[in-house]
Amino acid sequence: MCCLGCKAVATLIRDANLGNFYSQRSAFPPKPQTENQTVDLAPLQHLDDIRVETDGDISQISLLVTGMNCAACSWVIEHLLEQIPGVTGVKTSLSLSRVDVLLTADASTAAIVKQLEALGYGVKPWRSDLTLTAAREEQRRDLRRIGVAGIGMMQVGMLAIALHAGDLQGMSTGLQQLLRSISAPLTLLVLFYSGRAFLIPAWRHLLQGKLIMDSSVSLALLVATAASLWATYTGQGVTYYDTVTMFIFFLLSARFVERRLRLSDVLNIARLEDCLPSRVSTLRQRQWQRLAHAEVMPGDRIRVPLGDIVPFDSEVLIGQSTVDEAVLNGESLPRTVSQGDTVYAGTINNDSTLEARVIQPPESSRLAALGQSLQQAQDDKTPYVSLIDRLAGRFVAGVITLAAITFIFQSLYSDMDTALWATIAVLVVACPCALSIATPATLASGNAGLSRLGILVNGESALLKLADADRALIDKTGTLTRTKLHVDNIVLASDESAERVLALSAALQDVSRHPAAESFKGFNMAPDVEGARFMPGRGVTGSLPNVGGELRLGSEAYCRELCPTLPSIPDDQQYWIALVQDNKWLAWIGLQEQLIPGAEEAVNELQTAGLQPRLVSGDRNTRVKALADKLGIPWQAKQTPDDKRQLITTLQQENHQVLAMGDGLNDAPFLAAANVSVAVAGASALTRAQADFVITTEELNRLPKLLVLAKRTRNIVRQNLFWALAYNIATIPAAALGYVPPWLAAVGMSLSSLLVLLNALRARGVGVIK
Amino acid sequence: MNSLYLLIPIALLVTAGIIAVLIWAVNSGQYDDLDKDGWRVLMDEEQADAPAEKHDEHTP
Repeated sequence: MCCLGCKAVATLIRDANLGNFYSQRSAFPPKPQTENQTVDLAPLQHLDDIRVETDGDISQISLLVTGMNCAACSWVIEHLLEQIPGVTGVKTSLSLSRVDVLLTADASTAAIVKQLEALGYGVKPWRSDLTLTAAREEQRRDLRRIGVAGIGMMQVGMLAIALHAGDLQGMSTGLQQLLRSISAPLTLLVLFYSGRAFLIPAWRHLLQGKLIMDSSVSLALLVATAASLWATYTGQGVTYYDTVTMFIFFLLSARFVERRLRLSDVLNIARLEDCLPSRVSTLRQRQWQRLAHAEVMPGDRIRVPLGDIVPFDSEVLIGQSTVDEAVLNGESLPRTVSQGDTVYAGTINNDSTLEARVIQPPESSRLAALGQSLQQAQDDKTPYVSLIDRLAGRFVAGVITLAAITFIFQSLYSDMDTALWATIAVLVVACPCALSIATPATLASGNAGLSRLGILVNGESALLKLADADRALIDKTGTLTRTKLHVDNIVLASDESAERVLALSAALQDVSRHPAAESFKGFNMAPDVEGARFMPGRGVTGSLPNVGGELRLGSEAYCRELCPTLPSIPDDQQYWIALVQDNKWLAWIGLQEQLIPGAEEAVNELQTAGLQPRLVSGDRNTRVKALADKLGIPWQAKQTPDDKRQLITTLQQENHQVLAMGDGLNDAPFLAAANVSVAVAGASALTRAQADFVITTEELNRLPKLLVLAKRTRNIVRQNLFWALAYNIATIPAAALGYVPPWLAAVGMSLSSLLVLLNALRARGVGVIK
Repeated sequence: MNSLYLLIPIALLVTAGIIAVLIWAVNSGQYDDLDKDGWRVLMDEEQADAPAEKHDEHTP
């Protein structure tokens, strides 16, 4: 557990018999706030205003709940809320972050909100968020189109089988006309309702003078339909109704599956404001009140309890503590603050309650500056254009040329009628069905393989972008190293033993909340230490009643006060703390960040792949250099988020495709600017939303497998494109000579698509992932 | 052949009906969350066992 808050949540979940949550969740739930227990319910009453009467005395309340990151979250919410007295029903919508609760008149809205907040979710009255609503509408529209295309395809298909049989066995003209006449309206329905997915983009690009693959698709579909209608009207020639409907259905389905690879759109509404507490203890009219974050103004006096996130950039008035600023600069070690120092919104108050005066409104905080940097990175990013869209222009030109040639030759060698139908056959057969399915199907398959690796993907083209990457920049703290420290080295005074030193330290550090204290958790504590007290920013003090004397464990300055004979700090590579007893020096203990398992392999793999990985970090020169030398890669220290982003831009201007890896919130702009990005486990929601890949486990050994999978996927995409193109090219001459009847065109299209799909399955990487 | 003049319109009516139902289902939000509901069936199965057992232990 990372904190008491999470432990409380786990207990809550376990006691409600919902332990399955932990085995089933596929994303991290939000970190709960440790609030003072006397929650002021008054501000919550305004939620009663949004209660809506449905029928009888059941009313409904709609809430926007942030932090629902996966299906397991919505399940937990539904079950826990249903257990609240008065609640008759709960409905959650993950895609909209919406929770609708049906309650009886006497049920308490406050209880519902408290329960949700206790789990760590943010609660606000539901408002329609445009991005989410748009995403939901898009999905619904896609499903309607696929449904209509599928049903139309089946109906037209049945009629087509009869018609093809008629071609082979002989069919009366009257019957043939009947069947064709029924196929026509069905096909038109499918073309103009579902087919708009291609027709509209193709038209829009055409207006801009550009051609995409959809242009070729649209051309083929329109020609085929027009020809079929003409044939039906004149009672002669051939019809292609089944080809048209089948094609629309196949391609829409493939694209839908591919689009579902986007990480839940829920994460895309992750906002910086979600990192900040929703309620702040503020002094108003001489009383401490818990106000909503939005109600607090610069100049207000606020209280930031131990363990809470600082809500605003403020100046400390009372109290002394240390703050963890990893959010802003990625440093793992906290900074000591006391009266007069500035603390920043989004950082964590580690040691003791502070009272402070708000000096900046939220939009001018350092956190907001980070947000702007992120926005900038997103705006500057050039969108990824797929390979086939780049070739589309030449493809369409090629097809039209071939059709024209066919027409000319055929009209010279035989009659106009044959020429016309041969040309139409060429245009239909040239329809890039397999070509258009090739990429989506392969990506969908490759991404399915990733989920088995425990890697989440955000965006369809992520794997392809990764395969194209040729430079890598990696953050240090939290990405390659654990933010926790561990004991690495001890320099002992001549007559001391390591065990005794560690035992004394463990006993002292037991009361400390400093990150360094974690390093001593595993050691046995010396039983003769008493009265351990934590001095923020300095160290820990205690006494040895048996022999008398004061023990101090902490910074050089703090220990030197007691023991002036303390030798100087051994080096500046590690984080050293000293242990002294009265004026006797006992030891220097060196703490080091631990490498995450698999980090060395991952970096080696990146090097072998030719990505020239470089370490970039906000941390100090010495520590960054130490790690970089150990891994054998170049490094750059003291990088602010904007510096990191600049490094990427420079590389991109030299035409490199950059891979970035990071974790902290301060890495979000960095990841957004890169061509392809990887966030590691434990990254904040906003960072994860920026990243193309999220590695959900702590071991970095997934990264080499990810690289292999990416390259393999790209190879398979290329194979598929090659094959699909080859098919088109091979069949065109046959069609030009009049040897391809409609049924053969339909069969050929289905078979080539099937081949592409089967090949795509190889991208799941069954051999790669053990 | 004559039967076709009856069957085909019926088929078209059925098709229209199916499309109408499909569009209604999509619009009423039944397909909004394609993961949770399929997953919920599995989860609630396991859950149904646990409370049932608890009851059995307490009833003498």
